Amino acid sequence: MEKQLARMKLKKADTGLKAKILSQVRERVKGETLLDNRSFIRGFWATASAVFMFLCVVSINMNNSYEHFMIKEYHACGDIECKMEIIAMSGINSSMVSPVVRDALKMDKERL
Amino acid sequence: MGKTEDIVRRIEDMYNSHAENIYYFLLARLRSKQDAEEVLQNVFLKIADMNERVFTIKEPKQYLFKAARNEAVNFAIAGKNRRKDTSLEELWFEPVDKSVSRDEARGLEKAVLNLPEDQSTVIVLKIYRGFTFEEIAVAMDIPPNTAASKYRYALENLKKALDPQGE
Repeated sequence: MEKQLARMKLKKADTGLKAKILSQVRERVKGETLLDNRSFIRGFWATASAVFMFLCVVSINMNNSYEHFMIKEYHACGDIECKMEIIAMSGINSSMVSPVVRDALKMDKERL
Repeated sequence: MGKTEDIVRRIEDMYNSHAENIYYFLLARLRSKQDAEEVLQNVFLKIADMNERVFTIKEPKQYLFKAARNEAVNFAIAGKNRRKDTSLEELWFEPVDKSVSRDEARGLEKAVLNLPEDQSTVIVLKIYRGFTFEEIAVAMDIPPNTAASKYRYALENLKKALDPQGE
């Protein structure tokens, strides 16, 4: 019986079947989400970190510029009211926290 | 290399290694080429849905046959099985050479199709796909001894069907 069965062979499966199934698999896997892509995730976090660091540097520089501007204005003041106004402004402005600036203003305030 | 490419490559490897055997396994169970193709497609699409979990599959052959068995059952439960319409309309078999007539091929196919589902599956896997009884046991989720006895019964039944006077 086995010999008789061996005189036959199974017909080949449809040749297009493999291409059809694998293309659908590819579509299904790739269509899942962009966040599945490791290089995209790496790029995203690298860019986000760089932007954050850049904004920090800009913020620090702006703060320093503001402090220098206030000190310059303070020294340029000709009368006591002007100086008092600068001190009052720096007192309420949270960005004026540099110990050097604070000490300079305090000493001048005491002197006045 | 991206994760998605790794997943697709893994599934392609699984397809290249096992899909042909699973297709014939499904053909023997479902008795319809269209059904076997559809179920095979469903199996691989479900694997695609697993995404990165596809790498947790340690025994792809075992896993795929189990998935195919389950999918074939679900397919039949859903009433999508077309075997009644097409089972004897299409030839699964073809002669290995010209010494075998088309009628003989058709008669043999009819005899295999008339076997109980498990027996025809064992015949297809053993004779036409070269599986060992251990491999058939894994594919059909039965003990190897049961696979061997189903094979023996199948041969006896085929002999009776093809040569009724020889009994």
